[in-house]
Parts: sequence; C-alpha cells; structure tokens
Amino acid sequence: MASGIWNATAGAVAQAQVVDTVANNLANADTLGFKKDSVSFREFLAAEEREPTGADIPRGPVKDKDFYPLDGKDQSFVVVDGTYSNFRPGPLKVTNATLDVAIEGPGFFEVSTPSGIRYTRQGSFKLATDGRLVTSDGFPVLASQPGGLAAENPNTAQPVTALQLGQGGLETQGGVSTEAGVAARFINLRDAGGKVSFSPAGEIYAGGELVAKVSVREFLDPRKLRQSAGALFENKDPVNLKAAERSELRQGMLEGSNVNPVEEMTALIRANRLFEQDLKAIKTYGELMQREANDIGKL
Amino acid sequence: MIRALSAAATGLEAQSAIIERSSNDVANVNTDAYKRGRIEFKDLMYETIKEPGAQLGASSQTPVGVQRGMGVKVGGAHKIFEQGPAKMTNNQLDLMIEGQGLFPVQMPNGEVAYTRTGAFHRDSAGKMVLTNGARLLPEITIPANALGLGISAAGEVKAALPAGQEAVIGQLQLVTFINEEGLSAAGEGIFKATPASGAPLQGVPGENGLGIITQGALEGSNVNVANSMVELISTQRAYEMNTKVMSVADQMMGATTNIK
Repeated sequence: MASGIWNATAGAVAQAQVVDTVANNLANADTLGFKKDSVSFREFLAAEEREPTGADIPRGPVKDKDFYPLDGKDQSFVVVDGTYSNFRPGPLKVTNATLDVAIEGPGFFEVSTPSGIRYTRQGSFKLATDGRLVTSDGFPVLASQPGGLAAENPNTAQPVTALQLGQGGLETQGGVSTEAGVAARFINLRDAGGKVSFSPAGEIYAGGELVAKVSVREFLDPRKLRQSAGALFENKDPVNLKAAERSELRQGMLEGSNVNPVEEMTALIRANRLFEQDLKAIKTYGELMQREANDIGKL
Repeated sequence: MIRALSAAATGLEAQSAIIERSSNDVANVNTDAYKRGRIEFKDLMYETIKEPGAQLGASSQTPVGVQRGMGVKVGGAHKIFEQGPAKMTNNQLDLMIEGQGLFPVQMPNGEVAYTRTGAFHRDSAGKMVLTNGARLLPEITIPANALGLGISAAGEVKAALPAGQEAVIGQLQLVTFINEEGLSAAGEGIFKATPASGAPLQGVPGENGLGIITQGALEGSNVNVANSMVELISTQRAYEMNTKVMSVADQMMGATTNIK
C-alpha cells in the first residue's frame, strides 16, 4: 500500500496548525503588547524503517526499495516542531495617559502573579486602591530591588548591580522564599497617582521625589519564554535572564500588537493552498489504491 | 481548524466591542463632560502541546515549545478622564473643573454619586441641582433675593444681594479617587464609587492637586472624532480579516470532507 498517503496527511495537519496560529494572531491584531506566533516545521525521517544494507538476491516480488538505501527519504513526514513568539516591537501608540508606559528595546516588565513571576511588555498600568502600581489584570508591577520605596530610604536608591539581579532571578525561578522577597518589591505610589513621571531608565518620580525603579529585564533568547494568557510570559531558565541594557521606558505611550495583517493574510493564503495540494495528493493516492484494489485484479 | 474557527469568532466579538464603544463615543461627541472609553484586549490561554525547555538529554533542551493560542477577549473597558475642551457659556450656574476632581452630588434616591458635568440649575427651594435632579453636595441654597452669583476658583460661592451687599453662601468641594478608572459610569455624566476606585478623597478646589473651578464655562466631551474614525476603519478591517480566517477554515474543512 502506498505509504505516501500518510506524508500528505501529515502535511495537511501541519498546514491546519498554521491556520490555527494565524487565526490567533489575527484575533489579537489589537491586543496591547501581543507578540505574534510563528510555526516551525521539522522533517521527520522514518530512517530506521530499513537499514541500508547490501542487496540480497530477492526471493519475492521485487520493489525498487530492495535495491537502494532510501534512508527513509520516501517517508519524510512533516511535524510542527515548535511555535515561537516573534519579539519584533509593536507600533507605539500615543495615549498621553500618565500610567501608560511602553518599553523601547527588548526588555520586559516584571510582574507578580499568583502563579509566580511573569514578564510582559504591556504597560497599561493602573493604581490599586491601596496605591500599588498594577497591570490592567491587577498583578503588582515589581521594582528592581526590595524595599523599592526610595522615599523611605533615599540613600539606597542606587543602580542595581548584576549580582543582585542574578540573585533575584534565581530566587524567583527556584520558588524559594519568593513571597516575602517579591512583596517587598511592590511599587506603592500611595495617592501620588495622577502626577507620577517615569524616566527612560525606569525611575518613578512623584513630586520630584524618587519613589522606585521599575524592574525591566531582558533575555538572552526571548523565544525560550513560555506564553500564557494576557500577554504574560514565563521564564523557566534562570540563565536566560539578564539585566536591562538596551531598554528605555516611554511614558504616555503603549505598545500595540506586532501582528502585521499583510503577513498574516499571506500566511493564510499559503497555508490554505498547501493544504489543498496535500488533499489533492491524498485524493490521488486514494485513486491509486482504488486502481490497485479493483483494476489490477482484473488482469 | 475548529480552533481557527473559534479563535476567529473571539476576534469578531472583540472587534465588535470596539465598534460599539466607538459608536457610543461618537454619539456623545457633544455631551458635556463626557469621558471617552477605552477597551483593552487580552489574549486567551494557550494550549501547550510541547513545553519549551523540555529536557531532551543530559545537557540539551528543546529551544522552543509548541503552543497554540485560543483567541482574544475584552480584558477591560474603562473611561479616560482626560480634560475636555472648555466651552464658554457665561451662565453663572455653569461650572467647569479645570484639572482633577469631580463634584459630589446626591441622587434623587439618596445615593451619593460623582460628576464632572457642571451645568447646575436652581430648584424650587433654591438649591443647586443637575438636570437629572441630583443635588450638589454640600448643599448650596441660593437666596431668593440674590441678584447674581460669584464663584471663585477655590470654590467659594458668593451671592450679590440688593443694596450692594454680598454674602458667602457656601464652599464647593471636589473629590478624587486613587483609581479614577475604576469608577462605574451610570449614564448622564454620573459616576459611582466602586471597590476598584477606592474611597473618595474630599478637598477644596485648588488644593492637594485638585482642579480649580471656572464659572460660566462647561467642559466639553473629550472624544477625539478623528481618532474614533481611524479606530472605526482599522477595527472594521480587523473584523473582515477575522471573517476571512473563518471562511478559509470553513473551505478547508469542506475540502477535507470532500476527499472521498
């Protein structure tokens, strides 16, 4: 029986997954801080099916396979091997709102969620009723160092060293003594709400006074991040984390979705046609099998 | 493909929420002290088929995983309390707040609410009320024989009486909230406090960052028509693209059904 029918099926399934991804991207074309997903394929060789050996004198019906080592190349299935977010920056929208902050550069804000530290580029912050700076989902935004209230402790407002950052990263990743450590890094703006300003370096000033420094982190390879709902990303590899070097904050702006409708529509058309071609191949194999079953026997 | 269909459906729902909000904004382009809305989208949860960073061997990990998104939802909708433009009316009972703050008012049912609509009128008892009957708090009674009313930037209300006399008849108060965006809009320019907005913080106009009062002016709507129009155009196109995804997913399912 023709094994190629399964190759074509694998292709059709993979293209259907591309359409799923495009659908999600286009649905999020207006989601703040959303990063579009791309799909990567992998050729899956059934190489172990038959070892390339010297050809014996065939005793049964002869097939071309019996003479040449094919290394499974006749059965190269395709599988979706990975989806990764494309971290190209989205367009900046001017909102002029005090608590809207966009990151220019590759950094992420650090936020505390019930399930641990998450990273996001969505900077439409709000004030909780107790004066804490939170994301629009209500998760507290973290300062770069514990006791982020520089107002109480003006002498400790120094730039964060690499060592401190490394420790912070390990601490948050290991899940050890995180609760207290993280809670100490909440940013409290009290009733200074409407009048704060963010410096490009992330310092928050309220009435000329340094309140805290927002924690902005960068990653060696952001594609390793695991996506979760609400444009939040989870980092599971402490080594991946590094201090912000090339990121600057822009107050009064928001980063839009980086989905490019032209690219997505093109991907959609392409996946649609490739899917049709795979179906055509399946159909052709079906006809071949029909001939094998019905016509060959008549000879 | 069923996933593509439902993801596209969530996209349609989210985009139509923007259209509805925009149309409400444009309809209120001439409503005094109207505050335009903002809708924030959130991506839905992801189905993780393969974990990123899964261990492949002693020292190697998969660099990327396979995750599939489920679409989008409306994550939040709130008002933007940006200052609207001033409209000079020269009516002595028209008050505009320049800066932060809202007037506290008592609704006809006794509930305390907040508004920036400053078009006050006099009721039969001489009290300052809004068009919908809500009374300004603290209550200010204008004497029946008052010839005119003078309201200072700091909210001091003086009545000019016959024979060149003058009397201070009240002091306006303004309130702010820690999180203004958490207020719930009740229509007619009325906002109500919620657990998200926090408790009202009362003060005298011009103090502690509160705005000042301008008499004889009204605050216009802060809707920016050009922005709303651009938003309508881009939202309509985004809507269309989601319907396109639907029709492609449908075609693909149809084609699959017709293989045999």
